[in-house]
Amino acid sequence: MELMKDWVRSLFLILLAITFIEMLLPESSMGKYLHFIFSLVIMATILYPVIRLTGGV
Amino acid sequence: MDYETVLEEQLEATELSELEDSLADAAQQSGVLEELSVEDLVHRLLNGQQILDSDQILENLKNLFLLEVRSSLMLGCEILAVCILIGMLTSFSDSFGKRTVSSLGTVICSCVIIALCMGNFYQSYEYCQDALGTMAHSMEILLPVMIPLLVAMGGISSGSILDPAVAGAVTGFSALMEHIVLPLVFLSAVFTMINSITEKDYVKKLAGFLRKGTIFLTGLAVTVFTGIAAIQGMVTKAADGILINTTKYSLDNFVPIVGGFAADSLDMVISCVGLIKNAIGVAGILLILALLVIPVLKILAVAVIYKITAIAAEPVASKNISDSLNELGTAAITMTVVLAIGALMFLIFIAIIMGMGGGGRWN
Repeated sequence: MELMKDWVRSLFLILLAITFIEMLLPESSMGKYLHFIFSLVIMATILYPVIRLTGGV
Repeated sequence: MDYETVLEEQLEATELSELEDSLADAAQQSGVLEELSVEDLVHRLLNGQQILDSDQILENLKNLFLLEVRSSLMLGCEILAVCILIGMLTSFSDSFGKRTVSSLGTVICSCVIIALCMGNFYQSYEYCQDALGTMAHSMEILLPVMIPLLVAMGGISSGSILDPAVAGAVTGFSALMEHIVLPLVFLSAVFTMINSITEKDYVKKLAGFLRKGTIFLTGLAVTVFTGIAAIQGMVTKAADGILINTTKYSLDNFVPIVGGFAADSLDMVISCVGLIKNAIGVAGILLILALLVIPVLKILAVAVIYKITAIAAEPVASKNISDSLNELGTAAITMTVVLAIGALMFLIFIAIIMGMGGGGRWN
């Protein structure tokens, strides 16, 4: 249960933070790379419990 | 021997106080069920009178539903006001200078909507858990009353097998609901709301999977538990019929003079006990239905409000917010479905026990 709560909380905070950061970023040529990295971070957060439950890496 | 006297005797012998308390509580809370006592039910069943006044009950239900919708209307208006603000921000974004200001405002408004919805949804979630707990509790009161009656009717092996089976199923089912299924529904609602912040769908499929998974789990659990109980009941019914009929036959034919009288009065006692058991079963069914109706109406009213808000916000606010409000309404309906399936399982258990007690003459 605690795992679930922590996971949901961190997912929510990461999503919120990334949304804000993407908005406040100045226009630059690196924008699209940053966007891609952020989506990777979100994907890793979503998959974190799955990795934990299936033995951990 | 008059059957009335036998009925009175057996009624007094049964421990009915807790059941009567639950019935009175449910009647008070719901306002739908009039004051019914078990003795009342037994006499009405015997005389073939109507047990419930259906017109009155339908009227009460309709009024209750409208009342609940009206009380949840406030939340809908609040959400709609914020959505109109979002619509204004997105449409007039050019005149607010840089693009970032308006999108920042949109995100903050989305967070406000999330906070409002989550608070309200958490209340419905706790209420649903409460309702399920109360239903499981009334089953736990009902079983120790009905099973001994079943055993007294001669269903010894049925009683001894059904008692742990049904009790275990009720406990297991309510534990499953409380700790796994309902939290998963809540989690899916949380993810749906989280999805509404951004324009890109980040966690939408996760939320959908969780919601559909819970319905599947509930159906599976009900099928398994009901199947086990029904099969065990069917198997022991034949054994008990043999036992009772052997007893009656031996009494009738082997005891010289009074054998016939003894066998017949045994018959009458068994039938009266059977009637009481079934009357208690009917009381239990009414109790569970009364406990089911109010939470279902309340949560359905909340779901209707969410859906109406989603419909009203669709032209105004961003697509994600209107979609997630819609999904939230669906999640509330899922909670109702879970509650109803649980009540159905309890009803099936009561019906199985009521249908037992093969003591009639096998011709």
